[in-house]
Amino acid sequence: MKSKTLIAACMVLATVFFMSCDAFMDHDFKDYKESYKDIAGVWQLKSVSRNGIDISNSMNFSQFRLNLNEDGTYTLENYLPFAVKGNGNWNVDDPQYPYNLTLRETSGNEVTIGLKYPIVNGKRIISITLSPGCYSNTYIYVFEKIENN
Amino acid sequence: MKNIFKNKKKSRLISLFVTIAFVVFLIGCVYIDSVSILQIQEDGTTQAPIAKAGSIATFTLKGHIICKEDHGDVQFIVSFLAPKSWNVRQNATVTYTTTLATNPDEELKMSVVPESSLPKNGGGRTWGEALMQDYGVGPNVLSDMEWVTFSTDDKWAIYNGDKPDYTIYIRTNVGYQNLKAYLGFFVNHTDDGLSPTDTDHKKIKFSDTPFEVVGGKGLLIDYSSEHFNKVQPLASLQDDFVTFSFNGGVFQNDLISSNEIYFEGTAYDDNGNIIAQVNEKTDKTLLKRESSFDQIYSLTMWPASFFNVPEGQVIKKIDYVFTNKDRSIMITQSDDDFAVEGKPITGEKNPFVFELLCE
Repeated sequence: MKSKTLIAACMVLATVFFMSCDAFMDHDFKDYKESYKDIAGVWQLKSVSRNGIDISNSMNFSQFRLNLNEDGTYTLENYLPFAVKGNGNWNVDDPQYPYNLTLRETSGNEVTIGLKYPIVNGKRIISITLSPGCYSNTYIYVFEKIENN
Repeated sequence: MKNIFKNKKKSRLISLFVTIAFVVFLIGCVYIDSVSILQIQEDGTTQAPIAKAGSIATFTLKGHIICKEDHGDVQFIVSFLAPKSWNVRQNATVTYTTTLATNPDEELKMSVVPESSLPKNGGGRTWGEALMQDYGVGPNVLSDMEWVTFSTDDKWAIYNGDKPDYTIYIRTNVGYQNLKAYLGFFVNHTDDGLSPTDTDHKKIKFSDTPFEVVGGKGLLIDYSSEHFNKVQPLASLQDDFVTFSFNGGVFQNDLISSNEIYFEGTAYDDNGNIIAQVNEKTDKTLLKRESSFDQIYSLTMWPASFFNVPEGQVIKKIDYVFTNKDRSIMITQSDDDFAVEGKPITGEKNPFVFELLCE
């Protein structure tokens, strides 16, 4: 009786084992490609830190918006000190791994800024480090994407 | 079976204890014996904690180590707290002598520890971040200061029973801003790397008196004592976010009893011409209480927008006062001078002045 139970258990295990072998094929990994980051959209300024200290509650920063349009143009709404002053065109260095955002004002002035693009609390954010005033002051602007309804 | 398991557990605990003990007694104790911030003055003989703007000052730190364990390849650490405007990372030259060296009079080199080199037990923080979080700016009241860390270029072997002395010389340009601040000194070594549980391997000392820079630019910035007003960051331009604070708890005053405290300011250009004056009593100028634990009220602004500066114009200085809604009570620089130094108020009161400088 005991040996029958043992044989049955072994058969079940063997079945599971052999079935599981084919679950992932090498080509599945080879075919994997990092997705293109959909950076285009309306980005709202959510938090600001100054020299490492969060000053988000010190004044109303949330009206500032960076609109990165699908057609490659950008506009700034309710302007606050930023890397550029005017509207223009934008692009990233790599659509799969965007590390730098280049903003080219219509006046011709071009600024490239470092970009972090993590997912925080299930939402994609953009984090930009800049010094619009005195060079010794570093600000981190964190933008959150406003989803279209 | 149970006994084997128990014995294994016991031996693991013993080896863990031995390891901890080894780490704790690796070097023994590090001591700071004295700190000197005195500089030889222009007459060539007098010494005072004062330096002329733009000059190189030398700060001297003396101490000793009592070693309780053999050890090799250790680097000694010194961190220095100074105003950011000194740019210590770029400008300082740090050397040391030690009786561990063959020639105890030879000045050996220390170099800035790069941001990428984290202290062993700093919890992932840089040396500067960890020291600022653990010790802040010491007795200073303004936070525009930084800890900059240096390590010995040489690695040292140090043995049980060694009692070496050391002297560290920090030579740095004191910048052009007139200021007064307590300076901070911290010693440690790379094997301890800011261990949070142990104080034997690290020591901190702040200067007993403030150090002063004179004959430079701008009004005196006093990091070392409380005032009615505070501005952050001290080095700011019109496209920064600048926070003006009224510290109502430091000295007796009537304004703190007001329900609403406002900022009034006048912006001037480089020629002393008024760009704009803001004296409205609205949300724009209303100060917010920072926390219920103190009586600090603040207003953060983007000066270019706050004063509606026309394109092409640049704010050079801002005169400001703190006041109540009907302007019957005002706190000014004159009130601060009276409270801090006992200077009598005669004639018209002078406003606080903030100069927009970036150095």
